[in-house]
Amino acid sequence: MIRTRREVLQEAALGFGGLALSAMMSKAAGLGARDPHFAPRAKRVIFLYIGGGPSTIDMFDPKPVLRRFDGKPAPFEIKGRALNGSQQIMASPWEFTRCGESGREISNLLPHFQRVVDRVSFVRSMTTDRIDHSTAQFTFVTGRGFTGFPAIGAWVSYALGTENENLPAYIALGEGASIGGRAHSSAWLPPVYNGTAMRADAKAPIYNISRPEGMSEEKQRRLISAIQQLNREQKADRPLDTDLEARIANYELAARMQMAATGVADLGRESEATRKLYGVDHPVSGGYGRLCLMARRLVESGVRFVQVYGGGGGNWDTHSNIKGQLPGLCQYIDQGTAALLTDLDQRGLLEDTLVVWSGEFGRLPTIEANTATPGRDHNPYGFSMWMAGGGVKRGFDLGATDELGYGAVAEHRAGHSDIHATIQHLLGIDYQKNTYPYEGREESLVGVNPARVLREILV
Amino acid sequence: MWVFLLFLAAGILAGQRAPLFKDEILPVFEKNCVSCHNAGRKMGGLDLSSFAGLMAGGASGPVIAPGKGERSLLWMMIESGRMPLGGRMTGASKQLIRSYLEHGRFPQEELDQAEAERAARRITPEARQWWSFVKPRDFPAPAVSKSPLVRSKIDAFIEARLEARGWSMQGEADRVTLLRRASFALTGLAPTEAEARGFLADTSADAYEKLVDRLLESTHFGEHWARHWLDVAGYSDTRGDAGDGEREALWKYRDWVIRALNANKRIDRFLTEQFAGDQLINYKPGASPTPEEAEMLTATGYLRTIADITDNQTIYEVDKYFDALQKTVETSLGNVLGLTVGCVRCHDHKFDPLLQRDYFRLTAAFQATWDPENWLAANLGFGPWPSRMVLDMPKAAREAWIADVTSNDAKTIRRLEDLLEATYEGFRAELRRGRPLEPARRLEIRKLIEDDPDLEIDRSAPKDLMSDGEMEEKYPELKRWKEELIEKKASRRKKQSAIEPSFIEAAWDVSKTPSPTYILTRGNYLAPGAKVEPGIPLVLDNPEKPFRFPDPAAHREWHHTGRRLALAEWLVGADHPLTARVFVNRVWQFLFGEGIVRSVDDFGRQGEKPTHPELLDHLAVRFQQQGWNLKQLIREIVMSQVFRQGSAECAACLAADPGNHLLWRKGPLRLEAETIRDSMLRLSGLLDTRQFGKPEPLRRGPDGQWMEEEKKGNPNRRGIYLKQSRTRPVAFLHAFDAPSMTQDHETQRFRSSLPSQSLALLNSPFLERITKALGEQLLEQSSGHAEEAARRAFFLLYSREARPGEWGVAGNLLEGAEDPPSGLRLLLQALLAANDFLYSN
Repeated sequence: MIRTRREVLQEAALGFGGLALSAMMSKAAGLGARDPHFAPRAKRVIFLYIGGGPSTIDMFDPKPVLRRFDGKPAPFEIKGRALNGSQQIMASPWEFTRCGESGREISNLLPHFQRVVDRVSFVRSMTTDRIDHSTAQFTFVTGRGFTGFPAIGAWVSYALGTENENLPAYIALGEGASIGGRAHSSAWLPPVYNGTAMRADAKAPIYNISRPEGMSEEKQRRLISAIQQLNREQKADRPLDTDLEARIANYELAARMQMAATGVADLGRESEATRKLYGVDHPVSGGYGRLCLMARRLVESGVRFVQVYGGGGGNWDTHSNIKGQLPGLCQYIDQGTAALLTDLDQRGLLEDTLVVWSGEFGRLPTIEANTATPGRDHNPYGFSMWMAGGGVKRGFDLGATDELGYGAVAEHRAGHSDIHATIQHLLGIDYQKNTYPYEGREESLVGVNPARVLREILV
Repeated sequence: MWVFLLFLAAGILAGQRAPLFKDEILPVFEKNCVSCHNAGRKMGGLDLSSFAGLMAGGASGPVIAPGKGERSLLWMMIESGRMPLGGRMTGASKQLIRSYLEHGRFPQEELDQAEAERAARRITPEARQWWSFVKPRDFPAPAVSKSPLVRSKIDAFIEARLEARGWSMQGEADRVTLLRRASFALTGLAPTEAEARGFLADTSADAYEKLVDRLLESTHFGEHWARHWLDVAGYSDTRGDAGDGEREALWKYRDWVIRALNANKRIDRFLTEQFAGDQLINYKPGASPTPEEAEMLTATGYLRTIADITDNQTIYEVDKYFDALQKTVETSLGNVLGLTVGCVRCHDHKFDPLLQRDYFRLTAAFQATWDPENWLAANLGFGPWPSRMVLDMPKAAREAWIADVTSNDAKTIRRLEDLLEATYEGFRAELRRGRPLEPARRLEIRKLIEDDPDLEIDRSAPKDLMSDGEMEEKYPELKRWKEELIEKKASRRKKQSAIEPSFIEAAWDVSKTPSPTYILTRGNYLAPGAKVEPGIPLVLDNPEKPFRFPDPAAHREWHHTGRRLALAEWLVGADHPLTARVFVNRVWQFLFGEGIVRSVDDFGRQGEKPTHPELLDHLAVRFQQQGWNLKQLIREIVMSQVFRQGSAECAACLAADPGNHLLWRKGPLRLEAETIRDSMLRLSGLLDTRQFGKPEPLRRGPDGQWMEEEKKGNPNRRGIYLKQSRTRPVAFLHAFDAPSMTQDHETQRFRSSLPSQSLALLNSPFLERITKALGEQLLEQSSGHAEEAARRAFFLLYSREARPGEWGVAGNLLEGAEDPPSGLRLLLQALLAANDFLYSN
């Protein structure tokens, strides 16, 4: 018998008659941990989501042969989006340095990342069938190119719940550009799994989390106590009403959330050394550094899935003037990203925390807009992403792009569904069994797309 | 034999008979082509050694164009002599191929035919007998013993099932509960103090009936029930594209729904106008509508609610067009049919006798409106004219506006803006190279930029060297050019402000001859299969008298295909088994929280069976008989005992039927988001009851949440008039499960219970605003006496006096406060945040 969405909702939010109060409270909010399908390698995820199409060819995927063709026509046809696409090769304007024990070459635009590169595994043969931002971004986060589907964080929270009963299971962090709530929406999954937007600001990390002016802590305590007394009074003739019971529990939870959320967003509680590691006060990279530090604090307090938007430093969609823009964009994310990996590792958290870095596609090795300030067009045919931590090999490369960095070579070609399957697999979730009844179908994140767990990169 | 062959050849030469592939064409291919174009070598991706290969085409696409010999690639290659490579084809062979391409039988027809036959085989007589596919009929009321509780036939059906369990409906709820329940259900607003006192003092036997009639006639009725329908329709004021741009004029459709429901427009007509208002008036694309025509066009906003990422897109991406077309079909029809139409986009339904063919036949009815092969026709206007809008202006104003937006003046300003930006950029580029800029060189750059007709502006370029202001200081001519531009803009703005365009978001047929509709294999537009004509699902069709769509060619006066209108007329036809059932079930769900069929969108095999099938049919039949009269339908339900009964818990019933399927009580319902908000506004005296118009704007609050904009808009109007954004929903409403339409629509709202709701009630700026106004109002009415104000507060907010325990809570709050007003405000907030305010019992 397939469950209806309402039944699942009731299980998630309401179906707890007769349970002890604390368990009831957490279940009422869809929280509490649930068992995975099999032993997990990772318990939580930090998804560094760099929307806009980062030019991975200039960051992680050096192609020395481009030097030879620089400014000349490509030796084979490059199919761009055909707006301003050209056949004229543009070598990466930046130097790459061989780094770490794995000896991989990383662009000098990412000096901090160069030092931690041994911790990550690249998938260098990513492709997507979407060529424009909105559909490619939705595809990368929800598995479908259109709006209205739950994001991966919602699916993961739906499967596993959270270990912290005072915080939402799925949190989205960002500043500035993102594609809005739809990129971390629970869509038709129960609303408890919706990504809660949070900011790295101890004063207002979540909507309505801080008390209004004139409402002291003591006063609010009296208010909540009055509400609870009224609620008990009003449900005197409804001893069995679980919905009303949940509402009573929610006020307790809300009060605790106020403490927990402001606490976790208070980066002042970190040591000076840690704050320096993330560069939280740096004029360019501080914003992202704060998000990364907060992401660590969140997973440390048991949040299941943290999605960090990397678009706050400008627009990664470098159709023009890539030389002018990419250094600043890289600088924006570099220190925070590297610090996150270092910090997680030092704390032993990298063992069971999966860190994922990706954009929705990469950029072409050719010039777009043959003007004074050239850039690169979208490249959905071959780009890089990386994963690190929980169950992922260190310093491993899967797949490759061709000599020009244009298309993924056929062997090990991977797409968003493979990443979705792999992330879920690492968390102990059988991606084919993590389903939800919707409009008469058992829907899943991967759906009918062909998918495989990228076992090569697993430890 | 010879005679026969001669006869054959003569027929072919006369162009009257199609050559046969196997006997006549294949030998020509084999002689001339297949040494390269065979299954093994497949040069150019083409295999001409088989019929399938010919149909599949090559790397450059299809090689044949049935019926159009001269336009097929195959013919062009042969005719031009480019093929066969290094050989020569005889004239007779050429003629044969040409004739074949023109008159040959290609498998499309065979395919279509095979598909139709296959479909017919799947729809068995048993399939047609599924309960919801059989026309509803009115059943006699069952005999029930507890007659005092049975006020109507509705009650008889409910009571009969309860009685079979040895249970019974509850007695009538207390009057306060009844008052609040009816007010919330019919108007989405809590009763005012005066309304409550009036009703409670009215001891006449028909007091409740009078209350119901008053509420049904209130303008707030239409606002509340429009909210229900807009959820179903998937209404949003934003488009759902990458930037979630504004859907500027859809609010007129929102107002149309409110007006229609308040005027109690017949629901069959209500639906027909939404599906085909343009066809009802034979709207001619591009024409200026009369006010009556504008209303019909506005109704088709129903078909304009889907997130449409094709708007204002210059990238030609056909799958997006198909997606917009298909989502419109799935949502608009699914709402009325109560079937999971989307399931058959990719394959025949796994559980219901719905075929992929049905899906595409239904899609064909919309194809002329959303033609993926002719997308831009409706999508491209000129100047800033937004897409798929009807310009609703009197002729003179219309022409003036069009002239204005297309004027040279407007173009010049755009060009000047570009030039100016490019000039800054050009100067910066020079500076970056480290060369000093001589005045002559500056002019030269400016000239170069001016002369470039394909000027490309890099608006994202960094202002790394100096800001625009610094640039202007360094290069006075820049400042001069900028001032010129500002002046031009100002003078233009003066001219422009005289004309404000008025648009309608509407649907209309782009042509009378839309592109053909194909069954898309696995839903993939790149894999078209059999061609289909518009049609209704086979299982719902009458095999003796199949439904036929009109032939637009036979109606020369039509500017449209007539397909959506025909579809709408079928949907609301007297014999349709689903439309009335699905609609009354939705109404039931809005009143009780759950439908008689709980899966309100799925009346198929995967859906739930009706808990009271005879009741559902009774309501559907009666609804139709009474002229699709919505207010009458609601009135009859609300007057029944099942709606009026108490909501008390009964441990045995709760244990045996926790979901209240048998309706042994009127289950308590948490109020909808807008009802909570609007009631708070109303009781605090802030509610502005002005109706209609452009959505009220939103702003970001101090902690980033979206909320009402007080300065540029009116924050105190009902929630339905606030801007509905997919990506920036009003945080307070969103917390209480108001949909943001990130999915296509939301036919049944969640009524969740989340800590974020507690936070909104404890800390949101909205609650602050409400308690402040409420406190001031109550203190004024009580001459500053806090205890008196507290006493009034209970009646104002709960329509009843405080219970002793509650009064104790109030006393504690007032005593513990630093001053009486702040104690009162704390009490008000507690009362609003407690369950008796948030629930309809």
